[in-house]
Amino acid sequence: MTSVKLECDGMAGVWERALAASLPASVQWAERDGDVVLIGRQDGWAARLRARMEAGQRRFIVIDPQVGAAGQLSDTIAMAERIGAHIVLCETHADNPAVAPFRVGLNGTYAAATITGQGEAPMGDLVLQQLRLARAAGFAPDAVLHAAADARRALATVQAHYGEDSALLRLTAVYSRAGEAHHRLMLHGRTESASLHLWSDPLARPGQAFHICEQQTTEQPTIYESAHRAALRRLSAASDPVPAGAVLRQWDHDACLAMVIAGAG
Amino acid sequence: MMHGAIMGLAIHDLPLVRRLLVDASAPEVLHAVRLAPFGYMLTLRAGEQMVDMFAFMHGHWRPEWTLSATASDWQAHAEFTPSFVMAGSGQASFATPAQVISQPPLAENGYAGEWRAIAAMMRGEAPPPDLDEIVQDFTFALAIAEQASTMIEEGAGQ
Repeated sequence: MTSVKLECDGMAGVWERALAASLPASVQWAERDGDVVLIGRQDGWAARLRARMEAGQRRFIVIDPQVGAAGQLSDTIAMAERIGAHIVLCETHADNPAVAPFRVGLNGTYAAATITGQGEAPMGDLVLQQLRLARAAGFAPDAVLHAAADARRALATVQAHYGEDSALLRLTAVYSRAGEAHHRLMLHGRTESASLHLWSDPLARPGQAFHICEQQTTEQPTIYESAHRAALRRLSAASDPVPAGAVLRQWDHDACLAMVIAGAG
Repeated sequence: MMHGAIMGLAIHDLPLVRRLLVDASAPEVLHAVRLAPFGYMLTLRAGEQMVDMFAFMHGHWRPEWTLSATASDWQAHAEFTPSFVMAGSGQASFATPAQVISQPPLAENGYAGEWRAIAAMMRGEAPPPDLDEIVQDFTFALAIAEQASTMIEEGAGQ
């Protein structure tokens, strides 16, 4: 069994516990010189990432990077590319283990995708969670067509592309302490629909996903695994990782869109 | 198409939406998109509140019709049965930070309830509905339909 030394920078205990549960690799928590450095989710994540790269570390997982870094990553990207860093962004919704098989199961032409969700995060982060989930499901957001927002809610229509086709994303995010924080993605086609419901806590709770067509409904099996554990598996297994610059540029594009929506007024 | 979609389809929800608004006197359509073959995305503002309306008519077997109202510390959610079958009532839940209260489906749907209300009215056992409420429901829906269809005709949101 492979042994991995994890070093945490700015993470709360709940995240560590959620990550460590039933890991496929033997894990040791390290105070320094970890094989992988976990960067916590606070607004200063980009500066901390740069500091750790300057200190010589090369492999990172950034847990739920906050939207506040949008548009300010050029130095971080340049440094990551210069030193050949391997960076995995670990996002609670986009990296939920249910998302990838959900995307694989899509088999239709979808005219629109809607994402409705709620939680206690700042509005920019709620919107970013939705955009990143849409991207992970195959809908790449291009531009904001219309947005109306304040600190408590955001409604936005976003031009996106789904494969070669253009598609519309409809985002509805509400600040609420009622019920459970979640996002639900629905894809709408003429003869197919698909739904993916994800919770926002960092625990290993399975998402709920199904695909519907004229002949059948397929409920998608998933696993009890947190997004964070899945990200560590991905980092451990990657023999040909996605370049860190590309990872960060794509995140920055989506984060800038989220800021446009959240600041729309 | 947009006018017909709102007065023919969204009209089923709009009286409920109006009752959830603090000030429904002047709804403002901020954005409207028409979806093919039949559907819409609407962003509305009414006073300090905002409304998201989405409809998409598809060709498969499973309809889904829901209404949610969300505030900082509560959320009401209803899931309706299809209007074209006698499948009992929808179900509803009300959530706060501390708990969720659910209403399971009842045996009758809203159409049966409407006919019973009409029968009670005809027998003189219940008063007729408040005419002012009915007029306000209609003018609320009409204001949205007219603004949205004008927006579409002018090419916005397409």
